[in-house]
Amino acid sequence: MSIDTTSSTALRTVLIGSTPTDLEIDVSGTYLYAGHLDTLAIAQIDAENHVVRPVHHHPRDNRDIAPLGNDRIVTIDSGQGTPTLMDIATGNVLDYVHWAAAVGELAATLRRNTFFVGVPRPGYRYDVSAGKMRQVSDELFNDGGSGRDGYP
Amino acid sequence: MSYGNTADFTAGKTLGVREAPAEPIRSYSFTKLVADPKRAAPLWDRRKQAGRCVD
Repeated sequence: MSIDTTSSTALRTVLIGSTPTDLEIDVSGTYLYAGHLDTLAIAQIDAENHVVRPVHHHPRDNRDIAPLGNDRIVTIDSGQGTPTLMDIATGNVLDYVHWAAAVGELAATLRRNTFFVGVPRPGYRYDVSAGKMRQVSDELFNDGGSGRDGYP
Repeated sequence: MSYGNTADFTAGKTLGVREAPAEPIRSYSFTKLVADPKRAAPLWDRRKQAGRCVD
Protein backbone atom coordinates (compact mmCIF):
# COMPACT_ATOMS: atom_id res chain seq x y z
CA MET A 1 0.00 0.00 0.00
CA SER A 2 1.18 3.49 -0.79
CA ILE A 3 0.37 6.10 1.83
CA ASP A 4 0.41 9.86 1.51
CA THR A 5 2.22 10.68 4.72
CA THR A 6 1.07 14.28 4.64
CA SER A 7 -2.63 13.45 4.66
CA SER A 8 -2.32 9.89 6.06
CA THR A 9 -4.38 8.64 3.14
CA ALA A 10 -4.10 5.23 1.53
CA LEU A 11 -3.42 5.83 -2.15
CA ARG A 12 -3.03 2.47 -3.85
CA THR A 13 -2.89 -1.16 -2.82
CA VAL A 14 -1.63 -4.31 -4.45
CA LEU A 15 -2.40 -7.86 -3.37
CA ILE A 16 0.60 -10.11 -2.74
CA GLY A 17 -0.83 -12.83 -0.51
CA SER A 18 -1.80 -13.53 3.07
CA THR A 19 1.52 -14.54 4.63
CA PRO A 20 4.05 -11.82 3.82
CA THR A 21 7.45 -12.15 5.49
CA ASP A 22 9.16 -8.85 4.77
CA LEU A 23 8.79 -5.68 2.73
CA GLU A 24 11.65 -3.55 1.46
CA ILE A 25 12.22 -0.81 -1.10
CA ASP A 26 15.47 -0.30 -2.94
CA VAL A 27 17.55 2.78 -2.38
CA SER A 28 16.40 4.39 -5.64
CA GLY A 29 12.71 3.87 -4.86
CA THR A 30 12.23 1.87 -8.06
CA TYR A 31 11.13 -1.50 -6.76
CA LEU A 32 9.46 -2.98 -3.72
CA TYR A 33 10.31 -6.48 -2.61
CA ALA A 34 7.93 -8.72 -0.71
CA GLY A 35 8.49 -12.25 0.55
CA HIS A 36 5.72 -14.79 0.89
CA LEU A 37 5.94 -17.56 3.45
CA ASP A 38 3.41 -20.10 2.22
CA THR A 39 4.85 -20.30 -1.27
CA LEU A 40 8.49 -19.50 -0.43
CA ALA A 41 8.27 -16.90 -3.16
CA ILE A 42 9.54 -13.37 -3.52
CA ALA A 43 7.96 -10.64 -5.61
CA GLN A 44 9.47 -7.56 -7.20
CA ILE A 45 6.90 -4.80 -7.52
CA ASP A 46 7.26 -1.61 -9.55
CA ALA A 47 6.93 1.10 -6.92
CA GLU A 48 5.60 3.61 -9.45
CA ASN A 49 2.68 1.71 -10.92
CA HIS A 50 2.40 -1.29 -8.55
CA VAL A 51 2.83 -3.80 -11.36
CA VAL A 52 4.03 -7.11 -9.95
CA ARG A 53 6.91 -8.40 -11.97
CA PRO A 54 7.39 -12.17 -12.21
CA VAL A 55 7.30 -13.80 -8.80
CA HIS A 56 10.14 -16.21 -8.21
CA HIS A 57 10.27 -19.27 -6.05
CA HIS A 58 12.98 -19.08 -3.43
CA PRO A 59 14.68 -22.11 -1.88
CA ARG A 60 14.14 -20.79 1.65
CA ASP A 61 11.73 -18.56 3.48
CA ASN A 62 12.53 -14.86 3.18
CA ARG A 63 12.36 -13.70 6.76
CA ASP A 64 14.50 -10.66 5.99
CA ILE A 65 15.26 -9.06 2.62
CA ALA A 66 17.92 -6.53 1.68
CA PRO A 67 17.82 -5.07 -1.87
CA LEU A 68 21.20 -4.72 -3.54
CA GLY A 69 22.07 -3.17 -6.89
CA ASN A 70 21.66 -4.59 -10.40
CA ASP A 71 18.48 -6.57 -9.74
CA ARG A 72 20.08 -8.46 -6.89
CA ILE A 73 18.69 -9.11 -3.46
CA VAL A 74 19.98 -10.96 -0.44
CA THR A 75 17.67 -12.79 1.91
CA ILE A 76 18.03 -14.72 5.12
CA ASP A 77 15.71 -17.42 6.36
CA SER A 78 14.36 -18.10 9.80
CA GLY A 79 15.40 -21.72 10.22
CA GLN A 80 19.00 -21.99 9.17
CA GLY A 81 20.29 -18.43 9.00
CA THR A 82 21.43 -18.86 5.42
CA PRO A 83 22.07 -15.62 3.50
CA THR A 84 21.09 -16.20 -0.12
CA LEU A 85 22.04 -13.97 -3.02
CA MET A 86 19.46 -13.96 -5.82
CA ASP A 87 19.16 -12.35 -9.24
CA ILE A 88 15.56 -11.21 -8.98
CA ALA A 89 15.28 -10.62 -12.74
CA THR A 90 15.85 -14.29 -13.49
CA GLY A 91 15.12 -15.97 -10.18
CA ASN A 92 18.54 -17.62 -10.19
CA VAL A 93 20.31 -18.14 -6.88
CA LEU A 94 23.79 -16.70 -7.32
CA ASP A 95 25.30 -17.76 -4.02
CA TYR A 96 24.50 -18.73 -0.46
CA VAL A 97 26.28 -19.55 2.78
CA HIS A 98 24.62 -22.33 4.68
CA TRP A 99 24.25 -21.74 8.41
CA ALA A 100 26.14 -18.46 8.28
CA ALA A 101 24.20 -16.91 11.12
CA ALA A 102 21.55 -18.29 13.40
CA VAL A 103 19.14 -15.37 13.69
CA GLY A 104 20.85 -12.63 11.72
CA GLU A 105 19.26 -9.47 10.42
CA LEU A 106 20.43 -8.05 7.07
CA ALA A 107 21.50 -4.53 6.20
CA ALA A 108 23.05 -3.33 2.93
CA THR A 109 25.30 -0.32 2.50
CA LEU A 110 24.23 2.64 0.40
CA ARG A 111 26.39 1.55 -2.53
CA ARG A 112 24.79 -1.89 -2.35
CA ASN A 113 27.98 -3.86 -2.86
CA THR A 114 28.28 -4.84 0.77
CA PHE A 115 25.85 -6.23 3.27
CA PHE A 116 26.02 -7.11 6.90
CA VAL A 117 24.53 -9.99 8.80
CA GLY A 118 24.05 -9.01 12.39
CA VAL A 119 23.47 -11.59 15.07
CA PRO A 120 23.57 -11.23 18.83
CA ARG A 121 27.25 -11.85 18.37
CA PRO A 122 29.23 -11.81 16.17
CA GLY A 123 28.37 -9.97 12.93
CA TYR A 124 29.61 -10.65 9.43
CA ARG A 125 30.31 -8.45 6.43
CA TYR A 126 30.06 -9.72 2.85
CA ASP A 127 31.24 -8.18 -0.41
CA VAL A 128 28.95 -8.95 -3.37
CA SER A 129 30.54 -6.72 -6.01
CA ALA A 130 31.68 -9.73 -8.04
CA GLY A 131 28.29 -11.44 -8.02
CA LYS A 132 29.19 -13.87 -5.25
CA MET A 133 29.16 -13.53 -1.48
CA ARG A 134 32.69 -13.04 -0.22
CA GLN A 135 33.04 -12.78 3.52
CA VAL A 136 35.48 -9.98 4.22
CA SER A 137 35.22 -9.80 7.97
CA ASP A 138 33.61 -11.58 10.82
CA GLU A 139 33.13 -11.22 14.50
CA LEU A 140 32.66 -7.49 14.07
CA PHE A 141 30.96 -7.24 17.40
CA ASN A 142 32.52 -10.20 19.12
CA ASP A 143 33.14 -9.64 22.78
CA GLY A 144 34.84 -12.94 23.41
CA GLY A 145 32.10 -15.39 22.49
CA SER A 146 32.46 -18.47 20.41
CA GLY A 147 31.90 -16.60 17.14
CA ARG A 148 31.46 -18.19 13.74
CA ASP A 149 33.05 -21.47 14.80
CA GLY A 150 30.18 -22.01 17.17
CA TYR A 151 27.79 -22.70 14.30
CA PRO A 152 27.59 -25.97 12.36
CA MET B 1 -15.77 -32.37 -2.06
CA SER B 2 -16.81 -29.15 -3.69
CA TYR B 3 -16.40 -27.70 -7.11
CA GLY B 4 -16.78 -24.40 -8.87
CA ASN B 5 -16.70 -22.90 -12.31
CA THR B 6 -13.58 -20.79 -12.64
CA ALA B 7 -15.47 -18.43 -14.90
CA ASP B 8 -17.60 -17.50 -11.89
CA PHE B 9 -14.50 -16.22 -10.12
CA THR B 10 -12.80 -14.48 -13.02
CA ALA B 11 -15.78 -12.88 -14.76
CA GLY B 12 -15.32 -9.15 -15.14
CA LYS B 13 -11.75 -9.24 -13.88
CA THR B 14 -8.56 -8.64 -15.81
CA LEU B 15 -6.18 -11.48 -15.13
CA GLY B 16 -2.77 -10.53 -13.82
CA VAL B 17 -3.90 -7.24 -12.29
CA ARG B 18 -3.48 -7.37 -8.55
CA GLU B 19 -4.14 -3.79 -7.64
CA ALA B 20 -7.17 -3.22 -5.44
CA PRO B 21 -8.96 0.02 -4.58
CA ALA B 22 -7.59 1.71 -1.49
CA GLU B 23 -9.83 1.82 1.55
CA PRO B 24 -9.76 4.28 4.45
CA ILE B 25 -6.42 3.88 6.17
CA ARG B 26 -8.02 3.05 9.51
CA SER B 27 -9.36 -0.18 7.99
CA TYR B 28 -5.83 -1.59 7.71
CA SER B 29 -3.37 -2.89 10.25
CA PHE B 30 0.35 -2.63 9.62
CA THR B 31 3.27 -4.86 10.43
CA LYS B 32 5.95 -2.89 8.58
CA LEU B 33 6.33 0.53 6.98
CA VAL B 34 9.12 1.56 4.61
CA ALA B 35 9.93 5.10 3.54
CA ASP B 36 9.88 5.76 -0.20
CA PRO B 37 13.15 7.52 -1.04
CA LYS B 38 11.87 8.69 -4.43
CA ARG B 39 8.34 9.99 -3.90
CA ALA B 40 8.16 11.00 -0.26
CA ALA B 41 9.63 14.37 0.62
CA PRO B 42 11.76 14.17 3.73
CA LEU B 43 9.91 15.07 6.90
CA TRP B 44 12.16 18.08 7.36
CA ASP B 45 11.20 19.43 3.92
CA ARG B 46 7.49 18.97 4.57
CA ARG B 47 7.73 20.73 7.94
CA LYS B 48 9.68 23.51 6.32
CA GLN B 49 7.06 23.88 3.58
CA ALA B 50 4.39 24.04 6.26
CA GLY B 51 6.31 26.81 7.99
CA ARG B 52 6.88 24.73 11.09
CA CYS B 53 10.66 24.90 11.02
CA VAL B 54 13.52 26.79 9.40
CA ASP B 55 16.95 25.71 8.21
